[in-house]
Amino acid sequence: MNLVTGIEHQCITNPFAIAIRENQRAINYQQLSLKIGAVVQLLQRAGIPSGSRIGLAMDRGLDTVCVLLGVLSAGCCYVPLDIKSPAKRRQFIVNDAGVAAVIGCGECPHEYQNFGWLDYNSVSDHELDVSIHQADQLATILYTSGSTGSPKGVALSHRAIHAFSHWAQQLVNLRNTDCIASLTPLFFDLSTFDIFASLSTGACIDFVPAQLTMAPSQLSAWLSQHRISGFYTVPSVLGFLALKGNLEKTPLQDLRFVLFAGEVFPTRLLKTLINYLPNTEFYNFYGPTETNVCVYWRVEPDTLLEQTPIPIGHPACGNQLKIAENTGELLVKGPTVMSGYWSKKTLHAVLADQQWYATGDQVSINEKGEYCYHGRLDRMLKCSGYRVEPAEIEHVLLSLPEVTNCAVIGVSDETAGQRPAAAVVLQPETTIQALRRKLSQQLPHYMIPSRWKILPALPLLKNGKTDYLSISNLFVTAK
Amino acid sequence: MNTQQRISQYIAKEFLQDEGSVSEIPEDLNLLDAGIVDSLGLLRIVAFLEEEMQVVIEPEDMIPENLKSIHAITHLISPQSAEVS
Repeated sequence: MNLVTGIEHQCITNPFAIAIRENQRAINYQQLSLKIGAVVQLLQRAGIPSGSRIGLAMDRGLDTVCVLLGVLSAGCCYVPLDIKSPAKRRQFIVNDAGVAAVIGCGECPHEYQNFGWLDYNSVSDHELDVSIHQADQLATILYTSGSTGSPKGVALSHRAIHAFSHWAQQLVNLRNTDCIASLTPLFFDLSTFDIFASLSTGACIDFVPAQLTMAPSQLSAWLSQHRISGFYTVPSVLGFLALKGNLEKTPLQDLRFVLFAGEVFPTRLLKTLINYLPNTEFYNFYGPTETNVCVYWRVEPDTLLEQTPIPIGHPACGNQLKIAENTGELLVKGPTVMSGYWSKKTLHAVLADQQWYATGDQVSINEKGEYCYHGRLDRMLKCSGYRVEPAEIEHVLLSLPEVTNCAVIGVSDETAGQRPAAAVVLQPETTIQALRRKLSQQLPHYMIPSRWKILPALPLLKNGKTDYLSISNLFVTAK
Repeated sequence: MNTQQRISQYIAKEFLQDEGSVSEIPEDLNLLDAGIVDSLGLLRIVAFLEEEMQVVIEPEDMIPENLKSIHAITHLISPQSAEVS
């Protein structure tokens, strides 16, 4: 089974239903198939062989979904490029992925000059031939923060993404009358639900205008007006809605289900949200990009206690779970697990057959048999659902001449989960604002530390290693 | 300390490094464009205004336009802060 088969089927059986909406634009499934066909033709004319990686230099939206599906239909693998991240980072990714081409709209930006540029604006509609691909073929490489100082590519096959989207369809009983709000960037694995689960059911994807994330009452009005029936997002967006979404005056009657993942949803905020939306089903999804969703919990509103974090729940998508005896680390094996890490233009299959993927997350099982999350075994942070490796931020900070030494830790934040905070030893006359400016040329916004401490020297442990605990305490007491 | 100074001081302390950098933030600097505050930062600012400055931010007022700069924030809460200060 490959990811486009189900969508191609909808294009034939459900041609006049609306497939995608974005602001004032909308296309039906028949139009979608012609756009997908156009992208297949664009790639074929450029002589791009099946199996190539293709960079997507486009923000989430209607056109981008057409391009992404065209790339898959042509037997290629899509590599999302976060257009809001710095050029240097995007250049690293296209290079590391070894893309055969980058697709975008209009003129080629300078950072992609050395890679084949294909302009989506130049295509015209074209009939789509049914595609035949192997399920093991890679569908996408999603780059996340890497602990070695550079972004890390997680390679996912058609089979892995299909296993998740098919499972999710069944879970929420997705129908062709559903309208799914989409807010997640493509480089984030949550987007696979919006695109593949929705479109292969014949449902409609409606793109949430980005500016609404900073205006929660406008977001709730939009969800209501657009009669959204399903929404998969991060707790920070939902927390925002719960606190300032004006939900008492904006009943979201069409909203059948809300799925959330990426970070721990503070129980107090979840309770507030559920009080406003008593008829909506809520699900907590858990899983690193490497496994997509491997554990899930259907929220039981009556069991929620403000001081107790909600469980992550039960095995999802046919995965098997196991807890490592010594460390309490969650191990996962099953259909949604990645094919491996992609780096230096090659797939590195990190797991042999029948091997378990170690998540780095510490878990336990409660008296009801539900898995519960307790935190990371390493230093990784989750910031508004984004995965952030402090070592990657430290690596960039240390490359700046103004920084003599630094240590990055996470500070907890009720709505964002965690935020990176930096303790730095600086050359004289350096300002934090100047540092922030320089960092923003190399790191995406969610990796820029939100708190800073300038120290004469970093505190060290007796063995000479950085004393991260003391540094964390500096930020706690400073508040 | 007046309302605007308190807000400047909070933003300098919370989002930059310490109170020493207050003078670095011009009152009309767009904090969102400058990358100092993001959407979650806005929520932190609102929490500060509501908890520390005893004002109420109505959901309708919670839009980037009203919270984008120290000047905008001061203007937004001025009818309420005049009563409590």
